[in-house]
Amino acid sequence: MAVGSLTRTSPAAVAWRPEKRVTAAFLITGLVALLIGALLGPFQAFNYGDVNLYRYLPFLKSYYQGLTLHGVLNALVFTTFFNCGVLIYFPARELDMRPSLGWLWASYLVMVGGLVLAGIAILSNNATVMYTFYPPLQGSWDFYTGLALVVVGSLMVAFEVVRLRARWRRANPGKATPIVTFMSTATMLMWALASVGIVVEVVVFLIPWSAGWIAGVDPELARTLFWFTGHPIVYFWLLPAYVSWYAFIPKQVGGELTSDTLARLAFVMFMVFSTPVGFHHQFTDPGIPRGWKLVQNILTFFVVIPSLLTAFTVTSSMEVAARKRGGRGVLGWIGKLPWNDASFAAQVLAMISFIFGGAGGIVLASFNLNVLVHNTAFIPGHFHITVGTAVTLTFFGMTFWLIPHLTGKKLFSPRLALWSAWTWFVGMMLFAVGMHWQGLLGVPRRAWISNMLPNLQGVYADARVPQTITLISGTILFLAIVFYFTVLFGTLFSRRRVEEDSVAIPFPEYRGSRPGRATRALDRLGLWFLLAAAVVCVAYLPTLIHLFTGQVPLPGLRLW
Amino acid sequence: MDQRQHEVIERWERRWVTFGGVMLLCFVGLIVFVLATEGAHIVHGGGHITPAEIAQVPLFSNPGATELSTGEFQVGIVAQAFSFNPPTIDLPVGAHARFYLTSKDVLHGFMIERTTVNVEVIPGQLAYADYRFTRPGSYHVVCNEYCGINHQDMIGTINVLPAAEYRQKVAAGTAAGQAKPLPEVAGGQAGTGAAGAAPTANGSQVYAANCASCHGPDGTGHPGAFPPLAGHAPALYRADRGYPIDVLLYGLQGKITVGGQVYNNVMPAWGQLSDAELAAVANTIMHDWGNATALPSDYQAYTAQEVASARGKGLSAAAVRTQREKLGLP
Repeated sequence: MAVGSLTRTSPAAVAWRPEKRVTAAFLITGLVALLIGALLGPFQAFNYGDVNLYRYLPFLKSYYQGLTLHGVLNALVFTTFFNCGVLIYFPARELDMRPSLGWLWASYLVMVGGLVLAGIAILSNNATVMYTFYPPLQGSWDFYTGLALVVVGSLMVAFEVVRLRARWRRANPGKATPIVTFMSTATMLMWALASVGIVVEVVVFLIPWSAGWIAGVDPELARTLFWFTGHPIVYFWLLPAYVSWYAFIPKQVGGELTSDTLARLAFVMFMVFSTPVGFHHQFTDPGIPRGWKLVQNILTFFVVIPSLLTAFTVTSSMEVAARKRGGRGVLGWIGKLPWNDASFAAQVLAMISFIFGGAGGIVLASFNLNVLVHNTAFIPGHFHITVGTAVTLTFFGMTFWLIPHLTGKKLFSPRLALWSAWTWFVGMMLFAVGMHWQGLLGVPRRAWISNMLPNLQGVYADARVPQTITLISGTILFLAIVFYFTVLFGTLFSRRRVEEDSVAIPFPEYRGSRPGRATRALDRLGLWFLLAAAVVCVAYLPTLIHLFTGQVPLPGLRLW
Repeated sequence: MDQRQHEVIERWERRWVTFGGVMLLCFVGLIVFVLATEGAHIVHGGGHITPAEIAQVPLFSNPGATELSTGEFQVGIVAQAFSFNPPTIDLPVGAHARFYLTSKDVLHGFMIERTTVNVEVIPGQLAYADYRFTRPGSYHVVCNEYCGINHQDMIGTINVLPAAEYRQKVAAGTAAGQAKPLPEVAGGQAGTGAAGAAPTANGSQVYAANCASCHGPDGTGHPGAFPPLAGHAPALYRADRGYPIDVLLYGLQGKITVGGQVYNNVMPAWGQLSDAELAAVANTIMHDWGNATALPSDYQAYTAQEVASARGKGLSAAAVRTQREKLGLP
């Protein structure tokens, strides 16, 4: 593997073992959750190929129970655990400062406790409510409590990240925060602001309601609070991938980041504009005024800008490196990139998937186009090439150097790792073609279409071709899962060790010059956080006040 | 990276960001233009309506299509697990319809395929959206928001007919999904609902349209979610002949045990169906799937008059459950 040479070898690599252990715990727990969730994926894909394989899963009562498990484990558990692991570890190593281990283990245990509680609720079929859990469908109290604990644990980690940076700043006055720490802190601050919605929804309404302490919950209010967090959460998933693309990929291809300032600007923009955008999931809701929907539509387009910046900066960094390696021509340099390096290949394929994912996202964020595909199969098609590929495949690519780095084990079969990246990419792209296409033909999302009443069969007959594509993609993705987790567990259980810290974190080079004015201005994260909170208040408060004061509380129902 | 390279990158970067910004501005302009010119098809909010109020609002207690003026239709639709009421609606080509929607229980979706109508149907909220049907044909109406175990079967139909054919059907009283011309006030005898103004009702059709999505086409229900009617309905008849009619009229809410299996769920009230339809479906349920063999020898079929006289009770779904507890069922 062509991961960079030793750049920042800690004088005593061994000294970092406790931090490595807690980081590995976060990562491996997340990846095991992903394994379980992902194994259900092909069953979902086959359903959208009109083949009902759920009948062969005796421990699940229905497709809907399996889909709830798939969504919660992949989208909520895997991502949150992975993010918490990397977003504290990278800053600690970059700043060369120790985080509070006791605090991190406590956060980890809170999150695991939440995972167990929610897992029991879903597996016992008491919370078949999807990972969006819209009331009045009512799951059992342990489901909501479990999810709340996962969020609380992640906020505990966020607190430690912010504290670490504050400690460093006190010790290094006048210096700009190093870039990886800057990005990690901005991400965690964004998440802290964004999580307010789901915390209020779950703690104030859903837990008391499911425990029987309050009689009713207003469905429109709960939905609005959910999407307050539900869209920015996708940036919480995405930004650790951006950390890798900005900070690590240039080094991994033997080059440098072409613009440090732009990278910081992108993260500040994400912090400010990620949250006031949730209404674009509610364009077809009757309870949200159309004017505010349009405002948040426009604010969503603001979040496109930092992704456009990222596309440019990351690509130019790779081009500079490829030309240094002898690459020529307008596109010929692409061939000089280290395509045999599984870590690199996985992440570049992830970037490619995000071009299409991002374009589809602009369609979905457009008020008028959204109605054509809202709640159709188009939506899962979209998020399987954003969170499902851009994020997940980047995380796979990171683990190809990070797991050896953390555990001191040699990567098991780099060749199979490369195969896993390509099969995942091809499988997901095909899946996306099948699902976007089905969505355009009006096939709804989250529907057990392979188990419809006899008199309804044929309702989606004109979707045969995309259904078949989806079915094929499920088969390819099953192979990808087998390949990736063979590499992961092969590495974890390998006896072949690498030298302590010989797989270094590919931190970017430091130029050592004094930070410019722009960098110093961007470094005032506290101020940007306040601006973000102000924008959120303007975009949300009028509607939220209206919904809070005019609630229609309804009792819970269990319809599964 | 040398200085020249750096300058080239910065130049292209400015161009790229300018291109992106201009593109997004164009998108915003287009969206605002479309909303201003033809935005009526996108959902509008119509204020609050609680599930309990549905029975008192003529638009929903007597749902279906009403022609306000030539070609202008108002269509009231109630979404409930797992059907639309009315499930089938006939409209003429050229009809400009305003769909009014609400939900009786949980979130549902209302998407008419091949059109721009796509509405999140939220209990407690009244929504409306407009559409002009210019092409004849049969359009599926798909629930696209997860609403429970039989979500996939929640599918309605809009038949867009040639104008002459539609007028004929309306004149003959066979057009589907039309609201009753004169909403009745007295006696709580609400609209004719699902099957239109047919004087006599076919119990199997009423069952297929309204009941089968939960209780199954063969009456076996869904273990843990919806109780079976096959093998169970005659026991209810034996315990209290009036009880099944109360369940149909007022619903049932709370924990019950059927065949050793616990159900803790809600059955909606079906008072919007006509007396004849409710009597017919009760008789179908008592006879079908081998139930007839378990009926007592003095069994008598239900009549529309019987249903009509039970409408005055004004029970709640929870009260029906209390009534059930007193039946001493096994």
